[in-house]
Amino acid sequence: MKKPSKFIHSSLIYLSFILGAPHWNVNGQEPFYTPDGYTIETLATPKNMPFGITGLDISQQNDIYVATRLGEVWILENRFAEPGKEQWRRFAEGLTEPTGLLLDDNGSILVAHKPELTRLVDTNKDGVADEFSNLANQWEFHDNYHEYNYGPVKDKDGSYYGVLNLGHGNPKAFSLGAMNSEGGYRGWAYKVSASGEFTPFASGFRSPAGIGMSPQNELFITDNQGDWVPTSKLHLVEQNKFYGHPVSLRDDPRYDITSLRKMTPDDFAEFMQPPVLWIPHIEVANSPGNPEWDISQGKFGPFAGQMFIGDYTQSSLFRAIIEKVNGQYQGAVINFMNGFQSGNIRIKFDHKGQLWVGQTSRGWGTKGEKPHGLQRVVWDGETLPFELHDIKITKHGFDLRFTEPLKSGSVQNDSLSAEQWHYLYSSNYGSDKMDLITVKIKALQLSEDNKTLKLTMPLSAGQVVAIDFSGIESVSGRKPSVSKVYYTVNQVK
Amino acid sequence: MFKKLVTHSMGVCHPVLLQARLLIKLCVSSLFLSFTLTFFIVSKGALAKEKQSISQDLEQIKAGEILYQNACISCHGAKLKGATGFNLVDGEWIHGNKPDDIISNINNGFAQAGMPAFKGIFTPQQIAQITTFILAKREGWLNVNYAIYPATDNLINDFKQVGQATPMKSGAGANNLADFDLPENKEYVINFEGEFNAPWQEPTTIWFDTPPATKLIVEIDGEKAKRLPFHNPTFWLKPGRQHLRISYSTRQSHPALNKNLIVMVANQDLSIKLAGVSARGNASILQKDFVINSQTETKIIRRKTVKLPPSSVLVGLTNQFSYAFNTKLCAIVGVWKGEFLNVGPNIDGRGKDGSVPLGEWVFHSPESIATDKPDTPCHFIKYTRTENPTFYFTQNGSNYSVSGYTHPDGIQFDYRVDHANNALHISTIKLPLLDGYRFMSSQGEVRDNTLYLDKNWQQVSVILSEH
Repeated sequence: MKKPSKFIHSSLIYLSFILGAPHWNVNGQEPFYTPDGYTIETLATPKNMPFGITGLDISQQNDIYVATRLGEVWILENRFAEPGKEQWRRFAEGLTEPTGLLLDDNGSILVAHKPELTRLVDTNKDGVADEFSNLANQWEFHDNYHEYNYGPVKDKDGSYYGVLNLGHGNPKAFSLGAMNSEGGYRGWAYKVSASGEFTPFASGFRSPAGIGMSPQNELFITDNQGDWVPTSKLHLVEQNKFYGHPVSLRDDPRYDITSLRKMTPDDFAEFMQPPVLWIPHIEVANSPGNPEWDISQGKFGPFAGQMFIGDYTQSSLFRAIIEKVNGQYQGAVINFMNGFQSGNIRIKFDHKGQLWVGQTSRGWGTKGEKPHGLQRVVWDGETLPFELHDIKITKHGFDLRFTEPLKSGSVQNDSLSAEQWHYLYSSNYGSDKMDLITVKIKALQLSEDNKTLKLTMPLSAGQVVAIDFSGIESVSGRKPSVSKVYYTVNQVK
Repeated sequence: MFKKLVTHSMGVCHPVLLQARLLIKLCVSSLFLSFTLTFFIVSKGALAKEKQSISQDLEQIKAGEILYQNACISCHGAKLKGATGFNLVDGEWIHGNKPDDIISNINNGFAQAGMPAFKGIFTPQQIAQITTFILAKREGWLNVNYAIYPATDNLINDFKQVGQATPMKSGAGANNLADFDLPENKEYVINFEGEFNAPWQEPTTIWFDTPPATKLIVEIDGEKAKRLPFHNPTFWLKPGRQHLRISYSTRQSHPALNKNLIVMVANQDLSIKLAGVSARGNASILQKDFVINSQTETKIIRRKTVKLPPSSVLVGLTNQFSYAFNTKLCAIVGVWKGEFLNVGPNIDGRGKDGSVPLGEWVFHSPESIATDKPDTPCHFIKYTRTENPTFYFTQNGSNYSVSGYTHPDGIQFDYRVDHANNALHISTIKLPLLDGYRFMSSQGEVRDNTLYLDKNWQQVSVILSEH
C-alpha cells in the first residue's frame, strides 16, 4: 500500500500546480464607473424563458411593456414592477425577432419585427392580443438573419418611422464591403403616415439599432461600426438624405448596381450627411441602441433634457450632449455608467424618473454575462453627482460646465489634456484614429461661479477632440466618475 | 508513446484503490503529468494574483465529488450536465461563474426552482469543496477572448504578429465559447485565447472540423500543440488547466468552406465528442430542440422556416395539421401533418437557421393554394385569432379572408369575400400538386389543379383530404 500512497501524494502536488489558481479576469481589472447617487436595480424576468428584451415602452401608469427576441410581448404592471414582486403576463407571441415596441395612443401596441410593422390589438379585452394588423411591410425581407427592422417612433403629426438593417452572408447579394442588400429598401429609414401611406424616407444605414424621436420632434438614429462606418455614430435623419452606407442606394432611382460599383468613397462622401457625433469605438460604445431623452424634469438628477444611449457590447450607458453650430447639430459623448448584467439595447424613462434598460446577449458578445434581463437606474433624489454636465464649443475652444463648483486649486494646466483625430470613411470595417495628435490647451479659466471651465485651445473642423479632465476636483473634494469627453467638431464657431 | 505510459503506470496502482474511481485515473494521469510539472510551475508563477478561498488541491476535488454525488446528482446529473438543474460544466452561467458566486448559489439555493439552500446542511469547507469540484469539472474555456484582424500578408505569414496587430473587433466570447461566426468580412485572421479546462481523468484532444490544409495555429501554454495523425486537425490537450490559443486565417481557403468551424474536445481516438470549444461545436453537441406543439391549442408563429418563403405565418391546428400563409403572396405556401414546429435551430446565436416543421409535408413552396390573380400584388391586412385564425388581404380592390380549420379527413380552408370589386373579382383558386391527398370543394369545379369558382361567389371551402 505504501508505494501507491507515495505516488498519489506526489501526484497531488503535481495536480495542484496544474489546476492552478482561478483566473477570472484575463484582461485585468475592469474599471467600473457610477455617478454618485445612482444605482442599478435588477428585476427578475419570467423563469426558463428566453427573454432577450429588444422592445421597451412604458405606459402613463408606469406599466412596463416588452418585446422579446423570441417573438413575444409581455407586460409587467406597475404594482409588480419592483424587485421581489415581479409578476409578468404574456400579451402576444409568434413574432419574428422584434427589435422595437411602441405603445400607441389608442391603447394598441406597435411592434417592429423583421417582416412587418405590426399593430397588436386586444379586441375582446381578454388580456391577450387577438388582432395582428399590418401597418407596414412594403420593404423586402429575405429571411436573412441580419435583416432587422427597428422602430417604431412617432412624430407630432402622427407619422411612424422605422429603419431597416442591411443583410449579411448571401454571396449573391449586392455588397461593397461586408454587408449587403438584396433590394427592397434594406438600409433605409421609412415613414408610415397616420393614414398608412408608406414612404422610403432616407438611405445609407448599416445596422441602425437605435431610433429615437426627440422631444423637439426630431428623428435621430444611431448606426453601428462596421464596413463604411468608421465608428458608431449618431445621425439627425431628414427626408431624402443619404447617411453613408452605399449599398442601400441600389433602391434609389438615381443609381443602379453598375453605377454604384464604379463610385469611390470620395464620390459617396460628397452627398453623404456627416453624423451629429462620432462615438469612439470600445472606449464609449461598439453597438449603441436607442437614444432616449431625460424628460423627468429633475427626478433623474441634474441631467434633465439630455440624451442617453445604451451600449449593447459594453453593457453600459453613455450621454450625448449636442448643440447647434451654424444651424447644424454637433456635440459630444461621455460615458455615464457601466457594469450592467447584459447587453443594453433598449432604454426608456418611466414617469417616476427611473431609467429602464432592456437587455439581451445572444449572437454578438457583451461585457455583461447574463443572457438577457431587465434593469433600471434609479437616482436617490438628493445626492448631486459631480460630473461634466455640459460642453459647448466656443470661438477659443470649449466651455466645460460641471454639476458642482470646482475647487479652484485643482485646476492646473496639467489637470486637463486633449488629443484629436479623425476617421477614414471607406469600405473597410471601421477606422483607426487617423492623424492622432495631442492638442495643447493654452489656457484655462474658471467662471465666477466656479462651475464652468473655459478652455483655450486650437480647433479644426473635421476632428474628434477628446478632453481628459481627470485632474480636477470639486469643492466637496470629489473627482468625477467619468473624466473623458469626446466632442465631434463638425464646424468651428 | 502515450499508450506506453498508460500501461506502465497502471501497474503501480493498488487494486484496493479501484473503489475510488477518481484515484485510478489519477494514477494513469500522474506520470503523464510529471512531464509537464516544470511547465506548470512557470505558468502558475505567471498567473495574476487572485483573491481565492478555494483550494485547488486534488483532495478537495475528491471530497467535493463525494459530496456532489450525495447531494447534487439528482438534479444536476452524474456528469454535471444537468437535468432539472442546470448544466454545471458548460460555459453558460446564468447565476455567475466566479467561485464566490457558486458558493453563494449553493448556500442560498433557488427556492422557486426547487434548489434547497445548503447553508447549514454543509459546512463552509464542504461547500468550498463542492465548488472546487464543479470548477475542476468545467469543460472548455473558463474565459475566452477573441480578436479579429484584417488578413494582411504579414499576419498570414507570421501568426505570432497577432499579438502586436490592432484588431478590427475584439471582446469576450459569449457563453465562454469561441464563436467562429463572428467575423463579417470575407478575409480575416481570428484569434481566440483564454484559460481552458480539459478533463484530467483521461487524455483528450481538441478536434477541428476543417480540412488539413487550413491555416490554423493551436498553442497550449505558449507552445505549439502537438498534432495527432488524423485527417482533420487534431491536437493533444493537457489535462486540467491550460492557456489555449487558436489562430485561424481564411486567406486562400476554399470559398465553399464553412468558416464557422466545429471545434470540440474529444477522447484520444475521436470516438466520443466530449464538449464544445467553438459555438458551432457546442451547438452540435447539444442539438437544442425547442418544440412548439399545437395539440391542445392552435398556435400561430412567424419564423424563418425551412422550405417556406420569407414572411410566412405558420398555424398549427389541433388535429396534427399545420399550414403556412404568406403575407407577401397572400397564398397558402405549405401544409404539413405531424407535430407543429421545432424552432430550436432558429432561436440561438444569430438565428441563421430556419425552424423545422415536424412531420410530413402535404405540399410546400413553390406549390401553393393561391387565389388566382392578375399581376398586381396582394396587400396583407391582418390576421385575427379571436376564434379560428383568419387572414385578411386585399387583391385588386376586393377584400378576402381565408381561414384553416380542422377537418375529419385533413384540413379545410374557407375563403370568404368581404368586399368585392366586381370587375376584378377573383374567379379561380390555383391548387398545388398533391401526393396522397385529394381536393374537395364546396362549390365550383376542379380542373387541372385549378378550382373554377361559381360566378359572384361569396365563400368556398377547399378541403385537402387524406381519403
